[in-house]
Amino acid sequence: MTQWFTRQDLRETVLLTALGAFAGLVHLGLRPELPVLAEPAAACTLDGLPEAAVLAPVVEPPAASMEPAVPMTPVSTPAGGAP
Amino acid sequence: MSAMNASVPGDMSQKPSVWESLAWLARLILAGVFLVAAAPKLLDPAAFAASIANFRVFPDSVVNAIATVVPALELCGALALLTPWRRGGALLLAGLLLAFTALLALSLARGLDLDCGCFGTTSRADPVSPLHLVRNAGLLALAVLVLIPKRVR
Repeated sequence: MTQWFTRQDLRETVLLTALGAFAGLVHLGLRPELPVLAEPAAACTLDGLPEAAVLAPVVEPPAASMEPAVPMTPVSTPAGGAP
Repeated sequence: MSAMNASVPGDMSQKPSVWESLAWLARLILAGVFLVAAAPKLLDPAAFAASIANFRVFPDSVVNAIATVVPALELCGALALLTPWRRGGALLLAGLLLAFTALLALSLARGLDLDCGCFGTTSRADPVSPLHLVRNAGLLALAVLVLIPKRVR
């Protein structure tokens, strides 16, 4: 029976895999935006909400007022302008 | 006199056989495909990490490590195909292809509609489909062609 893989082939594969894994981890260490061990995604269920989030008071946006913040002044029309 | 005409291993004056030519072509195609696949992932690992996370197979804590190690493995395998370590490179890429194919098949079986991310995140959507399995099977056949021992050819 023909042997497809020699010890040399397997040794090369293991060395290449180790080299790739090492290079990848070094690359990961050089990327500050990618933490080595990422935080798991936050739970989205209502039961999973932290207590502080449940008890946090709801801040309503200030009601829009019709009153202008700055008193309006009459706009003077240039002399000879249209009425 | 006959000893003078006997083929010498590594004799460059010998005409390469059809098998050797095919194996060379397979090496070039495989190396090219994996170099093109690895480059965008190496340049933007965060986008590749998002693609991996969409598969919902790996724990979140290891997604970033996978997103940087996999393209590095692709690069090592592709470059090795162009060196005397071609059999080791072909074996490594065959293993990666098997893993990718299993992941894609699992996603198809689960009915997930997501971007493949095989060649990084591109502006053109590349949803996972059975065509990806066919493509991977073709690439796997090229890797097997490189791995066929000379005495079998």
